[in-house]
Amino acid sequence: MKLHPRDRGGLAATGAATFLGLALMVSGSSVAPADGPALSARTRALDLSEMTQELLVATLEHEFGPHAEPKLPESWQDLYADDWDRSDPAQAQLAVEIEALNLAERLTAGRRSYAENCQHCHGVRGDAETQTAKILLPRPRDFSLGFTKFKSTPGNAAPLRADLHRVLEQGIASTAMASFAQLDPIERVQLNDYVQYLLMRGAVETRVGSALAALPSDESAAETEVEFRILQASQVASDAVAADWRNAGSLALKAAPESETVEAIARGNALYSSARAGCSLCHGEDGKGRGLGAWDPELGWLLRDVWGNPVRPADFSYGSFHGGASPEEVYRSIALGVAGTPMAGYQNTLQPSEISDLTHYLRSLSR
Amino acid sequence: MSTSLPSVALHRWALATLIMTVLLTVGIGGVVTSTETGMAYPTWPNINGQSLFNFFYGSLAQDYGAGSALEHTHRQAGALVGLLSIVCVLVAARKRKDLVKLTSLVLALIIVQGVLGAFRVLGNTQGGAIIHAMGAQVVIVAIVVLVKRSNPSWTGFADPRPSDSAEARLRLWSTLGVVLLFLNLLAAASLRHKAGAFSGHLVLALTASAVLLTGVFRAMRDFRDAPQLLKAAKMVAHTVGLQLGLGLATWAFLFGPLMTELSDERSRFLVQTLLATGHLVLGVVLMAAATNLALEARRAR
Repeated sequence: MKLHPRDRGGLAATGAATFLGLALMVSGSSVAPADGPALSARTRALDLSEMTQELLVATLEHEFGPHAEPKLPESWQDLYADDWDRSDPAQAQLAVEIEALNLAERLTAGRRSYAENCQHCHGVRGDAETQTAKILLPRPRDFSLGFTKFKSTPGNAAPLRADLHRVLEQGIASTAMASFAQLDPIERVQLNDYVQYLLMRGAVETRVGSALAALPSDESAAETEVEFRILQASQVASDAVAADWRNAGSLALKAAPESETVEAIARGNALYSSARAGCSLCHGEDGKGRGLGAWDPELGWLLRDVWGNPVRPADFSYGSFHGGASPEEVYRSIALGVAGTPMAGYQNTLQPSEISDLTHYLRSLSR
Repeated sequence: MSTSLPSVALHRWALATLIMTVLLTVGIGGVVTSTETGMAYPTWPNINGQSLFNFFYGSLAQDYGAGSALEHTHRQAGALVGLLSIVCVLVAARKRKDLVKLTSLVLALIIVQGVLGAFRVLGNTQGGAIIHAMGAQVVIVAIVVLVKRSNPSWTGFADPRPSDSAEARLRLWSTLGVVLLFLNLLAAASLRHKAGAFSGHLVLALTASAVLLTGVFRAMRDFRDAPQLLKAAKMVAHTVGLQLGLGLATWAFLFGPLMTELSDERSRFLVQTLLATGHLVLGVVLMAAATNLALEARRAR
């Protein structure tokens, strides 16, 4: 088509503007700036005076930086060491790349990735006080208690870094926590660096907040006295949290399931409904997660976790094992339970062979 | 030679498909993206064994959260549009054989769009989400073409190489407007999925608006005796104006000075969701209007 002379100028301007627009589009990403209170919802709910809250924020930011500019005490570097399998070329390469970065760089990159991938559910402070979190069930993890649900350590102990890596790579089945395996491996490590930061910072903040709330009212206390209390509580909490993470490896579950047999499944079936194990009480006789102790047709879900969220027991008939569906993962969930929920660990109640039988029975329900 | 008009049935079904696509599938999809619940359930198409055709939204929300029910409804809306497009193919086969290929193309595009939605969910990638958003625009353009061509009053396409320079220039600017709108929606989708900068969307939005308004200006100046064309041009002009205003408000509340105006987090979330979703839906309406104008510019007169 022959162009009208007056159109040529217009087309040239349009072409230039389009090029500029496309170039600007790919030049970066726009994430809504982080805003909101510096303390987690859990701490804000405590009966602390405004002055105490301000001093607590100042103390936390002195030690950990604001959430958008994370930093950690020098002595905590060792908590970020991964146990890479260097015989695997991919892991060996990843180890080299990660070890070439200092922790500050890793946390900064992790914070960026967190803002893009996680923040809308888990929140700026990691306390899952977001509007998106409020319309999801199970609700996204609130990191402010300092532990996660699906891990290799018992009770409220800190998770292993390997647990964080596994959850990020696999996701959590039957929940909104999708797999992030599509991210570059180095980005996943950095993202988990920041999640670990939120867990540790959250744990310190929660412990300090609880310690301060347990003290007599600080209404009449002088600022220096309150500051001293906070510094003291913060030092104790920081040492305890660092010790938790250092000890996590020694607490990790070592046992593993035996081989699956027809007899093992039958034994597991009998155990499932027994009073000793009592699995059917919550998970139901049919394993669909609607046992009498967990579900009421009128009231809905009856149980709550420590975060106050409704608990929907796993539906084994669909194979919805939140902690992973492999024999080792199911065994681990039964032995250690699910931290922060009414699902208690059975490693001190049942024999390892019995946990193994249950593992095989539960896995057989979805076949 | 028969002078009777072709059947209006296909036109009505195509119109229903267009309205359902914009209001239901795109509208709910916009809310899903605004609330960031697209990954509320990372399985597809069923939710934890619950069928795509489960209509018990209350129990779904109770078991998996309202976000999951929202995403589920978006998938159901997509399925409904797919069913409507199948009806279009069947009606065309009976009453408008000349449009069987076009209705089949619309159906194929809707199926592809559903599969893209599956890849977006199962792959959990920002790129997948952007491609899925762009797929919606292609579907809208195809349905608008079907709506126009199935209209009994459609007089067919004019000579592809017009001798009239005014007509050639109108065709150029109206088509360029659709292309730029598509690029701008790519920038908007990239922004929504945190893979693109706001400045890119801004520049492309202004460029697309200028080009579309150039087409509107030419239509209103040179084709005063073509009522359908004038109607299409006015619709584009009004939608561009509304969209620019809504875009400004959306920017102000999402990134700009009014971001912290609402101190209550819930109210802020609601306002941001409504504005962003409204801006998205109006963007799709603008794409439909721009396609309509481009088609009118090619109509045989």
